Amino acid sequence: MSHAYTSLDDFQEWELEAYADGEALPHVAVFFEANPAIKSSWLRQRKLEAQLNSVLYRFDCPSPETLRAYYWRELPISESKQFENHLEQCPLCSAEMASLQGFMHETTPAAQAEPAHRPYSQNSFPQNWLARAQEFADQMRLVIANLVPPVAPQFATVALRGDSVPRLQGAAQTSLLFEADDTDISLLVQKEQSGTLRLAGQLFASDLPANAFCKLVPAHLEAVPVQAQVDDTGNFVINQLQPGAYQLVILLQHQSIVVPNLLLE
Amino acid sequence: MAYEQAVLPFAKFRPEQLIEGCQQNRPDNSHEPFCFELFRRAIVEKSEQCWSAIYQQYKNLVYGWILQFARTNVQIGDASSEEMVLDAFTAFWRAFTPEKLNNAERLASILAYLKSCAVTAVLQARRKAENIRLETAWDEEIIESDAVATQTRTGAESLVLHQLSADRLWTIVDHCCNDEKDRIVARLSLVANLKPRLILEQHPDLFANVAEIYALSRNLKNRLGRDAALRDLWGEFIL
Repeated sequence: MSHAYTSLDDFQEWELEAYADGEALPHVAVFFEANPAIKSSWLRQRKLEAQLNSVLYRFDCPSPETLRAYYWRELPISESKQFENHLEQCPLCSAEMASLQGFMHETTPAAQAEPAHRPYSQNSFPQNWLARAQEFADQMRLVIANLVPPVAPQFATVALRGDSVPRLQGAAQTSLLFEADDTDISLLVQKEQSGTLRLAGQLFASDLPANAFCKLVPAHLEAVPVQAQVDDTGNFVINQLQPGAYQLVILLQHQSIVVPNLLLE
Repeated sequence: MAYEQAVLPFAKFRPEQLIEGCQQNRPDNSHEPFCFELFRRAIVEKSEQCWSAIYQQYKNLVYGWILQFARTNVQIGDASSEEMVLDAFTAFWRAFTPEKLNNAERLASILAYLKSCAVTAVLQARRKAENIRLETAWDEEIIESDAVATQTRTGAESLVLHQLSADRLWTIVDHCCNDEKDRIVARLSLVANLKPRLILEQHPDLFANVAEIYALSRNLKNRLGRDAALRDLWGEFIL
């Protein structure tokens, strides 16, 4: 015996959800065909909800960095209380916090959160995890750039530093060379009229991919990373930089190159 | 620092010696002071060479943590595994200050911090992926409802909507809530994006059943649809 549908309340909510997801539910389709005004109103509601979701989703959730800072008891007391209040009302942050705590206390793999008593040993990494991680890590194309010790006299200040700190000095227009697998990276910093710095770089590779770009991440937590496109000759420029420590990441098609610690002065 | 009592004068070692010593990875953990000194020089002396060595030495370990925490080896949203590894190191590089190093007892203390950075890199990627998914879902809903309501939306209008202040929008939503039940439904459905069934799981004492939550949600959306402040904010073309 067929059911007579007269309003949306006659449907199970999952039926409407499934219909919205594109499932073929003939009884819902027939109902909407016969009641275009109800369908229109239902769609408007869905649209409104989707709009609200897209703007409001986790809009006041603390960042994962805050979760980490809370875990390590790095937050000031007032922020810590505020964070705890948020945890009480946000199931998503509570779940993230629990997963962080759980993972930090897991006994496998190694590198535990009780450092003083359980010294890290990579040998205790379970063999299956180690093998899997190794297998995927081998495919990982993350290349760490190494500084090529400068030899020219104008680079003496850099060359003389026993520990090779890559210090780019704007006033002196210092340039540094890094190598990362088969890509060389030349970096030059210049002082701009405004007093800020301009970083110019060039990549040297036998096969430079299109759509490469670079990201300069400041060490200062409140400063925002900046991105720049690498042109087809391998050049990129980033202007208006404040002096300080940065991490440079160059994203090529099948490889990411990182210069872990770059001091711009 | 626990290694200060060590016999070997690690501070006098060249970076190359430290790197070699750290890479030994001995079962008796005698390699640890070498690694600790590498971290010290990277963090305190900002040595590029030592940072590079640390990235090189621990990238597979960080990758393993990410793999284990994410429980997948495929990318999350548009974040590839390389990006998450990199994000973990970046977070560590930004957050692990010389003061924190001073408080670190052993190498494991430092690695535990790095491990927490791997976790937050995954969490960040998950949040970003969910944001992108919701924005896509919003676009799809718009396309479908526009076909019915014969409304159009320009790129500029779309941009305005996404630039809206979430705080301002939440104030309007909150204003449309009649009571605490409404407020909980609004927060959990619109901010946490939970389905009614999960909302009921969160508050079994507050709601009788899933149908009650659906009804509250529908009524709230009806009120929001008629709300003058929301219309002022979004304009007739959106609602």
